[in-house]
Amino acid sequence: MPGQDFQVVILAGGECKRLYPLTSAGTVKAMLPVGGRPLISYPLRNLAEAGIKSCIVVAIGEAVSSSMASYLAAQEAAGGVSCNVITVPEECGTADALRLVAGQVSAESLVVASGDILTDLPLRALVATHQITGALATVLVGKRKTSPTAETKPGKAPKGVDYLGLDPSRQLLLFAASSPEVLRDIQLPLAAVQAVGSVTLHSDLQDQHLYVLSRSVLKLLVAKPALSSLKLDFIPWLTRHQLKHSQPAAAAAAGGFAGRASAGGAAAGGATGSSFLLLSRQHSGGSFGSLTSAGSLTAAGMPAAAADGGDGSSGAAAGSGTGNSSAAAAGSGGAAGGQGSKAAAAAAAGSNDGDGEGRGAAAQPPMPGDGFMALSHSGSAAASSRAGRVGVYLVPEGHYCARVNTVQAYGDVNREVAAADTALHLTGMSVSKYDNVVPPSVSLGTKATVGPWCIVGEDCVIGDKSSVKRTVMGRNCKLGANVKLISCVLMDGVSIADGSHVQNSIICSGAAVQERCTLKDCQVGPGFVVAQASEHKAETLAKT
Amino acid sequence: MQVVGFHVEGQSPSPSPNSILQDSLRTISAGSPTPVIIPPQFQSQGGTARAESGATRSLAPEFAAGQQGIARTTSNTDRKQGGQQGTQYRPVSVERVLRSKEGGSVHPAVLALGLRYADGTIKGSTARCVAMVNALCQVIADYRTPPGKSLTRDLMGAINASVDFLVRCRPLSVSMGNAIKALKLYLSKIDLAETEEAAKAHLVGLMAEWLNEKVALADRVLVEHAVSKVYDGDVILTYAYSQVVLEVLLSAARQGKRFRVLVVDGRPELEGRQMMRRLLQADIPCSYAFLSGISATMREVSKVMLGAAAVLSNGTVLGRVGSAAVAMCAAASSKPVLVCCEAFKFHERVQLDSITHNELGDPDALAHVPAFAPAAAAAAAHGTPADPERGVLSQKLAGWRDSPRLALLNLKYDAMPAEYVTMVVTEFGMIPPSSVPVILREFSESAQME
Repeated sequence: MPGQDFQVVILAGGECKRLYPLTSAGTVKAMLPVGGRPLISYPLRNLAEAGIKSCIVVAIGEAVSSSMASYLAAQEAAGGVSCNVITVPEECGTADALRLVAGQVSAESLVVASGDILTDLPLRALVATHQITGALATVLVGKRKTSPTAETKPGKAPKGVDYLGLDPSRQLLLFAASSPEVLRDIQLPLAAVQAVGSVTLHSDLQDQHLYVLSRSVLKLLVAKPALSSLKLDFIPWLTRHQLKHSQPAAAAAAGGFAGRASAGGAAAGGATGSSFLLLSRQHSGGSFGSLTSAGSLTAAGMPAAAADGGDGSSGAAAGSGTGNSSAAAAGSGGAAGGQGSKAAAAAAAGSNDGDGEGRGAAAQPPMPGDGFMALSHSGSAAASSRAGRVGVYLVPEGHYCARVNTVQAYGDVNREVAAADTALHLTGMSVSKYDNVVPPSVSLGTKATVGPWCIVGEDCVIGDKSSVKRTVMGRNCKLGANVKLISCVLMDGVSIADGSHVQNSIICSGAAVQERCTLKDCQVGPGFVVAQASEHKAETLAKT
Repeated sequence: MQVVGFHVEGQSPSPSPNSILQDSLRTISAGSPTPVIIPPQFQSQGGTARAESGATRSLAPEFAAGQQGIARTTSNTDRKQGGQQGTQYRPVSVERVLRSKEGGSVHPAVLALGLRYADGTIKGSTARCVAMVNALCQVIADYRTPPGKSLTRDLMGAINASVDFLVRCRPLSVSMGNAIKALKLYLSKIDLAETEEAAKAHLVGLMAEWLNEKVALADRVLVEHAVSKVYDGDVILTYAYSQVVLEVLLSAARQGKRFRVLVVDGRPELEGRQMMRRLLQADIPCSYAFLSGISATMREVSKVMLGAAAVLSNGTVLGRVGSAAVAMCAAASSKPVLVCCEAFKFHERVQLDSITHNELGDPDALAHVPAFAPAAAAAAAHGTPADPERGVLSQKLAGWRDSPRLALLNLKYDAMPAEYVTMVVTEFGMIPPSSVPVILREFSESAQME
């Protein structure tokens, strides 16, 4: 059943240097409060809504896993997702971490999500699309909120932009390049363009760091220890090499992308339609045998074929669940757009699995009418079919997807999470009649105002005549009198003394701002005390 | 129905046409003992009208519901496109399918097939039928009889469930219906003494034979018959894409006949481009024309060869929308029209026009035009990018959904009357359209089983 057989790995990251000073003094990125809840809670909530019961959480460094441990245990006890936390050494990049975890993955597809994604995307639909189209990998891609050139001087290349080359139907990812630094030149391989006819290079789309990978891709990842980061190294490498592996006439390449050229040639030659008389499973058949293994999600360690038998799928198909993939590897050469490459991907999984099934060269019995794609009127669909390629899943209209990977993004996401019309539903909170979230334990002074799209934490004290606009406040914050907060994010335990004006700033837990300060576009680190009557603009104030 | 424009007290000063109609109906029916049956097009739009209680008691339920405006927001497309509820175009997506209750229980092969029908990856009567037989054979192969149930009945139920799911993704074609009939016939004749494995293998074998005989071999014989009608120096006109016509032309080219092809294409599918590509790959000289230019190009044509989605028992040929116009123009210019159609696409029903049985496509597809320079520039200025597959949204139709009196109707098929068709080429030979019932009678499944 498509959309069932997959596991989820959440990369909770390490101690992120980019989010300094938010992540100093022992706070890790995964536990940063966004809208009053830790950042890691958002991907977990998305999983819970999709009905997923367990996942693997990868923590880079001991500090991260120990910070998260109590929160994860608490949410699991409260009926959330059960997390298996795996700690990897600190120098690991995302791809390295995934490599270390790859041994624990037994499902057909693997969802790799960064721990800082906030989204309400239906995960099952994404995985089902991946499985049905037989893609090698599917990358979640969303629109950028700001133009890449918004913060760059004219004439200079922008920073932090993802360059994604898509085909005209926006289904295939043919090229990917990104770097946190400036990318001054990029080289688009001509083969990518020639394969599809035209490639559109987008800089207005962002890779959201949520990938659905098939088993074979995981094997490729394990075989390439030089690639350290998923987004920066592995995905660009995969997009360059997908073409090599999906050539119909290519000989069986190393790594299991076997495509029997003769079968592929026969399929190509049968374009006039009589080829389906050859009752060989050249096209669609192979992949579905493996899809009948509707294994449970906590199938860690349980071979997929055993899950087949347990499900009562046909005895013939049980062996064929992995066995057909080896024979249906023949179909992977299907030029007329079959999704046999998915079967080839499964073939790689099957052949490298060593799960002791008596496969041999047992072919799945061919089904009548296997060559139906050659008869179809829409030949162009074959060109953009995702079989065996890296596919792209655009965030559908009306869904929210954002990453918290920079300080600016942290502030923006907090404000969006506070607003009911963008992302408040992700937190599970609901607004009062003034369009803000103010719990009853908050004490408001006389003439104090809390504007719309604010979230105020428990036990806060807001002094007289203070105004709070578009701000997210944590617990136990104390605002004095005549304080103005506009577009700020305050973490727990912050105190702001009388008469201060804070705009567009992030103030970390335990910090204090003394009387009559003016802060604009600043970040104040944890425990820092801003001296009274000081003015700061666009500065980072932290204890070193 | 004539709208009488009188003013009913209590109404707003300038009532919309719908409310005038409603009021006139209400006033007319208030005193009448028998209910007035109103066609669905004219029923209320779910507004504020409430009939007097006295009047509603004597009315037929559908009329009463319409008067009270119960939950009947008929969209523009629904109202204009044949009026019946449930026939408006509903796009099918992976998310919607997974959320529906069938999505959880249907075989993955059928699920994937349904999605490919819905997004147009598999188009064409033959391709859809073959793909469906393929998926159903997989359902049969993976099927396990639950204990205490009989294979025949339970498998029939599983097949029915799969077919129901496919119908939701896209309505069945005539060829698919015939394949399902054959499958059910074979299933009902299964020998109960056989083991389950043997029965399933037997059934799959029978379907393979059915495909072989009805599609593959039939195509081969049909092509031979049709190729005998292609002469040197011919100019053959064909419309959109037809798999079997393509095979005829390729086969004739292989036999060395010298002819050229004029491919006529029609929006919004523009399947003729694919036909052109395949003909050009075989080095057949082709020209391309659009449907609007058919009367000008018909002069140079020597014969017209069309494919069909179905042929009905009164000789009506269902084909891609636009093919009826081609046939009519050819008949008017006295050009012979040959319809190449295998016998498994014949059906016993009779259809007199295109509206009674048809399929709706995405109305937005009509609003998109091929992206040539001025349209693409205008669209880029508006911020809507040109999609090379779908084209660019025409600026004149940009806000068509907001216009209350405008609806776009995208029909998939149209019906060509028998008088325009010179010959129907089937595997049984070349028959006049009036002989279709003979073929149906003599060579139907049940006739052959006896």
